[in-house]
Amino acid sequence: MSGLVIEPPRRRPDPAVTPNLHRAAERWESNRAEAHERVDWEAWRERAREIRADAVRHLPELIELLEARMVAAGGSVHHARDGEEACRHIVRICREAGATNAVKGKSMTSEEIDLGAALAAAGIEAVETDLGEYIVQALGDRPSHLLAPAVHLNAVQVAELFARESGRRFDPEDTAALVLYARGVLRRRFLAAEVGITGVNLAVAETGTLAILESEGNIRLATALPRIHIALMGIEKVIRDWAGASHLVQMLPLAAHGTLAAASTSFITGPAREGDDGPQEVHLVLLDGGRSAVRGTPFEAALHCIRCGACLYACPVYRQVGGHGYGSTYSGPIGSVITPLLDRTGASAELAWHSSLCGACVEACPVKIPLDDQLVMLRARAHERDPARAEAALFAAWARLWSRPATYRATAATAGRALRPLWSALGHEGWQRRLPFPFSGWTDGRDARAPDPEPFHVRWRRRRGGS
Amino acid sequence: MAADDGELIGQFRDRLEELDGTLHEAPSLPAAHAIARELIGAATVARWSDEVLEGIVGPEQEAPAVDADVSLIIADVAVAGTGAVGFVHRGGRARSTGLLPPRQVVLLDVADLVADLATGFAHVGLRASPQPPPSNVVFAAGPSRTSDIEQRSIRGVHAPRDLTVVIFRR
Amino acid sequence: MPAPPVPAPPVPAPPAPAPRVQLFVTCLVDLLYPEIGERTVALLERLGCEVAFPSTQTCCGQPALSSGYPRDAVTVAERFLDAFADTEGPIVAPFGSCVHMVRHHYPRLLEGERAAIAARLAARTYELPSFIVDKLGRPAVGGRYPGSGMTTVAYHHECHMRYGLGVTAAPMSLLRGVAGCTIVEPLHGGLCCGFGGTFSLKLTDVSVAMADEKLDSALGAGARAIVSTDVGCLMHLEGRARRRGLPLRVHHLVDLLEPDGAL
Repeated sequence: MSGLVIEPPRRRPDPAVTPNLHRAAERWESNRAEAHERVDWEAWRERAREIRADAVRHLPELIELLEARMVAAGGSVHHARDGEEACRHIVRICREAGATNAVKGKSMTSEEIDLGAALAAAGIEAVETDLGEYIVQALGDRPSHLLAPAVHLNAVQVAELFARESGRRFDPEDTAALVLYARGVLRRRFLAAEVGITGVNLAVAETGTLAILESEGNIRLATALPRIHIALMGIEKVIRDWAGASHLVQMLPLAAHGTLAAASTSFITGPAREGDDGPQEVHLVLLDGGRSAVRGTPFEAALHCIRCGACLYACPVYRQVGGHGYGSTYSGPIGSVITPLLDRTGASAELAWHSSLCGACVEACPVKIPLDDQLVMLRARAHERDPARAEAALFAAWARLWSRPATYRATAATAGRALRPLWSALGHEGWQRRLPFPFSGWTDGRDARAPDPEPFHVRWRRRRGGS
Repeated sequence: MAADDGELIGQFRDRLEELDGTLHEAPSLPAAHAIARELIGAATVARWSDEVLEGIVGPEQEAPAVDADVSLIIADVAVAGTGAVGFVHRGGRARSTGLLPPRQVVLLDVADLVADLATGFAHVGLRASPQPPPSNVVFAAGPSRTSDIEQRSIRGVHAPRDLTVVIFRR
Repeated sequence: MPAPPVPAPPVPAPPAPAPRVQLFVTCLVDLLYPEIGERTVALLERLGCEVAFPSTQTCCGQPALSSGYPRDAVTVAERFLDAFADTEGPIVAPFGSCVHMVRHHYPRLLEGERAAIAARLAARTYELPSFIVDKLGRPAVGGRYPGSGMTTVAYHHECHMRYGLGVTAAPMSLLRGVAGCTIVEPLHGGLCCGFGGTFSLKLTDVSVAMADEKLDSALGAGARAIVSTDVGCLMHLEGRARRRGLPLRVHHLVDLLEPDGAL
């Protein structure tokens, strides 16, 4: 089960995933702290933001250039307005080649368009080859983080899965044995595959080159052994030139893991040349999927995202609800922003409230996306499109009362005089254990502070006279 | 660059070792061959066809990449600032050679060691030019690894589990 | 890691200019925690400031903005502009989140001439700790934690101050000047406590779980009190601590800066 929007977001913490996420996030935090000592982080962020902003501002011309250069190098480019069209392209390419056996590299864009379902329906067997994705696929689960798809699972669950698959026993503590087992299973798949399907981290327009970063080596295998390589990319991932690429291919792992280089970075410009052992065909499927419509709006900066996952780890809400708690392929703060922006159905509007607006994500973002401001704007946009009438009326009334000192003070005096004695009579020193709707949510888990019968403005006037 | 060699090599070594790679220095190509021979021992070898790699092991030790224990390849570039080595794949330099065997020994000419990534890109033809860049260039920073199971870092999940570089002067 | 800096010599008291300060008390302090407002006034006066209280102020409008009602927020923000536009001198608030609203959101939220007024007000609006430490040049102002012996306290960096305004050093500097307490760094110290305004009502369970982590990690680090400058966080954390019956007190920083530990 995949797709941009999968189910309604969950409003409860998931205690099963929180310890795993804290552990992963703490590791990320300490790596990041070390890395920041090596580079001028603020200058690096600004440079990265400029590169991405330039790319998104000039997107149509850069896409045109990318296509021309890639075709000149012998590659093929396919445009898709939406996910369905992208899936049709990929299925068609496989069918035309008579291929039924594919290996997949990790790609959130493929989750966004639910490619797995489209391939299965077309009778094309596509195995995920990133270890985390393989585990998640074999469990019938879905990834919960942009870069660490199985971060919500623990070793015991993995050992049980591999034992079921192989009939062997695995010690959950022997991680190396688990990895070795997966290596063996997947190596056979790589050697047999006719098609390699991958995502793309960035594309360099000036030469028509696709850059793919990874840790495990599965991308290298998927773009070396099968005779066809299909790369799927959201249009916003293009950048202008190699000067920008040299910065971003360092910034992405720096933001994601605190290292200046991914274990492997593949730069692919068209199919294999004379005598080379790579794929005979390289296809790039360019997905719009609602991205063009975000350009030129106050939300354009959301398209600058390089999918590093830093805002997920930084986010306290993500750590509580986990990636699946968002009910969408893209989770965490960036997911709460781009999902409603790309989703034409409006079903994901609620995601804008999946944040305490603390701003930790903004500090973590390597391209300085103002995620908190965008979430605030998305809340307003959601109300414009689908008014929550009772709440809107409440805020309108509140604004009328609190925009005039006299009525502000009158509401304060009323609340203080009416409530405090009542609450004190119940014996809680100014704290109450139950509030009526719409504040009952507060007292479900917390005592509530009562208004003071003598607010500050009254005390000031009493002691100092009017001012 | 000769005057800065030592400093550049030192920086490359530091970065490579942080990434769990290993660096050996050789004063000449024959010396590099001797180091490579010792590293390989009796293991089977898949290698690129290049005169720099001739004569390290005998034909009886050679095997197809899919069966070999060790790959013997050449870095077309190395970046001191990041510890990465770059491979330009083409005829005679197959992608699968350095990828399938569990270990790899990489020879690096000191003339191909550059300071930063931007210079490294240009060094291997990743730049705007009338001709397209090479079809496939891979920069490897240390061995392949995964942290997908409880963030425990394990090497060699799909690609080689070690990365040994032998840097030499001509 | 560079070597830890040599402790700076105590900064001498500035040549007392007795600045006139406009108190922006904020609605939550006004209505729920008036004693925090009074302590703020007392502290500023002790530091040589003349404190004025523009009497027509109400709320900054943040609740409406973060709930997705920017027009209502503007209606209320206009009141802040009217109340402070004709005043002079720094505007100081004991609540960083409201300062973030004025500094960060007002200039974009308001339009035309009002935006220009908002930008001028934003430039002279400060949260209390930065005003004392950076503007008045007082890295410590004394104070003592009440009771005999030492109490272990944890400082909670409120997010709009930390991430929004980039302020972390000033409150810690003032806290280090307080006698009778030792400061600990709990686990997950950088994380939000889960208040988040209407977040605390919309995602109640998540909000409470976040508070529990904050409280448990403070207790785990040996703290017996949590100190912050965000009245929303204080209300949320104390409300949760009370509900759970935890042996943790919750204070606004200004509570501890009283000269005689008057709490």
